[in-house]
Amino acid sequence: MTPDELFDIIVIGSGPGGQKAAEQATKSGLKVAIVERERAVGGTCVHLGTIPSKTLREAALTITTLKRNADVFDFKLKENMEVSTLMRRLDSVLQSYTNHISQQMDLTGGKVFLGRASFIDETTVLVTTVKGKRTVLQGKHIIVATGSRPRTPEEIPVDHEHILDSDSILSMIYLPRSLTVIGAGVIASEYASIFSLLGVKVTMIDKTPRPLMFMEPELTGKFLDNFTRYGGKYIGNVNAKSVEWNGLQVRTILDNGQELLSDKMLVAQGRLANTEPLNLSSTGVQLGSNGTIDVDENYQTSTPSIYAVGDVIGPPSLASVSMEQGRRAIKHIIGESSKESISLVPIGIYAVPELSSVGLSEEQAREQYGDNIIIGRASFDEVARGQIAGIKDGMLKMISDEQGEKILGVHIVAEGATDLIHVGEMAILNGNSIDVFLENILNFPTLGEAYRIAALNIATKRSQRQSKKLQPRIQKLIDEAELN
Amino acid sequence: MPNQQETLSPVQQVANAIVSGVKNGDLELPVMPSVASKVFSLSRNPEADMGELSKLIHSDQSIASHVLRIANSATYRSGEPIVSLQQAVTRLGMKLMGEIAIAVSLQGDIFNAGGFEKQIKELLRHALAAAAYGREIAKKRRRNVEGQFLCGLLHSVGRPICLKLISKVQKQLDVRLNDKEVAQIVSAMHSKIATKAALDWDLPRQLQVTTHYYPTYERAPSFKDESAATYLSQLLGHWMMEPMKFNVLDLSKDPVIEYLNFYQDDFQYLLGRKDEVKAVVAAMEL
Repeated sequence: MTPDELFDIIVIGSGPGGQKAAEQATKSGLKVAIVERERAVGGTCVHLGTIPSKTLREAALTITTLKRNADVFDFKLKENMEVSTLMRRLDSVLQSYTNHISQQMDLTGGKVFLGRASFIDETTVLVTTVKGKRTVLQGKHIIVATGSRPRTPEEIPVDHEHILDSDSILSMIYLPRSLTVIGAGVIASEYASIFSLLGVKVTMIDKTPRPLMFMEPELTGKFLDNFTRYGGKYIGNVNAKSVEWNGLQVRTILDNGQELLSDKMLVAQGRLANTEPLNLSSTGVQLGSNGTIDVDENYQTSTPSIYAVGDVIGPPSLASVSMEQGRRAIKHIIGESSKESISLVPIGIYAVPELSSVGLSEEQAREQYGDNIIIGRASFDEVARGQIAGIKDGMLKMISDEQGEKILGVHIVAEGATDLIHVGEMAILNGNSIDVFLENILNFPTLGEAYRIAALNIATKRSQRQSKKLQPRIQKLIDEAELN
Repeated sequence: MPNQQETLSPVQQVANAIVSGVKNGDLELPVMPSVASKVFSLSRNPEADMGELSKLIHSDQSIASHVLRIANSATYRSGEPIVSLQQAVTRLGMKLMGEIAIAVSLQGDIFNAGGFEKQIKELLRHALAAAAYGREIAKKRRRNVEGQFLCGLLHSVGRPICLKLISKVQKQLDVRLNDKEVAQIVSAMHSKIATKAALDWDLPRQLQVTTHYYPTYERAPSFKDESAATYLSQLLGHWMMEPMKFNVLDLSKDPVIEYLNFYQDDFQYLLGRKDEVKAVVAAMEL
């Protein structure tokens, strides 16, 4: 088929991964086409996921702050709490964000095609618009950044009315009185804690013993404390045997026989890669067992002209990571591969409170460095800024090697954790010793003081180890006591 | 010298009277007696199923709006506002729903739109079709369908009110308009009446906006997508009721299809839901 237009790079999907790939490509002087199936650029992250859910989160936090200070300011919260009221900033946020993205694309010179893309062969893509107009594009290289969508388990009848997924939950017209959340991953935990804060009676259920199993148990413990304080409930080690709308409420029967009734249900049990409409069978691109696209360390697929980035290649499914993957894929195409592969990925979970981590977990650190690693902790009730800001129930956990020098990992649960983590990330990347937090000045009062407290905690344990020539057995007991 | 009212044509007299009626807040929706009496009897039956009551309330434009309005009145509101029918049924319970049904039933001139019963039944049927299509559209777009159902159900709420007002004014003035004149007044006034009713009844903001802006969805200050979906749902409702009047090809070229980003196969899917929508309308129609 004769192409209508020729490009160096065709990027399919304009979410975080696609955007950054297109930006990097145009900055590198390449002729770029961006294909987007929705009517505006930005992808799920902007229109249905990250941005809308964080807008609701901010509203929930604002309401909580106002409630907390109601007596001080003689303030009474308006009762009229339609979800749209809570989300009213969303339109302006989306408008300004999509404008920014469009401007970036205009500035860098990428040409945007609104339509569905499907491969004709490994360098040719057919774009079909909503009206049915067809354009054939040819690119030397093609980046697939088509993202993912919520997975709907067969046994759960998602109707987007009573039983919702993460796409439809935010278009509810009112806050339900009760909500059952199936799942215990990032999306489930974020929404469960946000709705709980808004006064909804939330019950989370999952087969795992605790939510966010990939995070440090101490952090998730704090998360659960907070969640239950606001009336939330977590039921672990169970599966939903059946879910039905009984005409009035969502009725869930668990495999332990327990019955749950709620106004609404959110199903957040993973996501599926958006690969079906792409006709990848015409390209030889290999798919993974769960429908994601297989790529190598340079994000190149089994077909050399095709790369894939973001959710479509599977975990960690973070916008931040997708962006870097997009940039790196282009770097590889133009022969400027990054020096190192991405080894350090900060994880940010926008639950209430936020959870964030970078580097090794305690378990991983023990496996790699042995049981003598040193753990430093800072509770936010020791941090002056935490007291001032009402962030008292957070903690920062710092993990070092057995010499108490090398920082192996940092884990934080508290408001602001997703920003605060970057201090630890940079320290790890630069190979700083924990002493960098002791021998330099940090602003006071700040939440960053928690780094200094945790570092001091490690330094104290380090000096105890060095000065007290205890018998190894006693030292072990002390260490164990400290760890517990 | 004849006064100004005497020199006006019957259409103008009726129109003027309606304008003043609207100003006075005389916006009562005609209630289908069969629905009102069934809600009434269900609510008094201790064995009755709440699910059945909920279904019934969802089936009637008039009852739905009365429930939302009365449930939010000072008498019944217990704190948080009631903005959806499911919420009304589950929060207020059978007893209060029964009281609301009684309140609706006891209103003086229930279904007093003499001479327009057929038109009102057609309007209700179309509203149900629009509501059911709203559900399908929302499902396809992976958006919450509850709000879109209500938008479809209440989008044309101004028309039956207008007919009821015409009926009332005709009696008062002892005039009789022909079908064309009635249609002319309804067409000119239903939108303003719907907007006022939505505000007076304190309907959820989404309904206030979509009821007013659905024909000009791109100009809606908020809920643009919901207004566009309402426009499409009422269009499909018309097509379902009178397929011979519509060319499907023309329908597929309506700008709203592009606005909602429905590709050709998505649109074909919606058309293909016709039988399901018909079944919903038949099940809800009383």
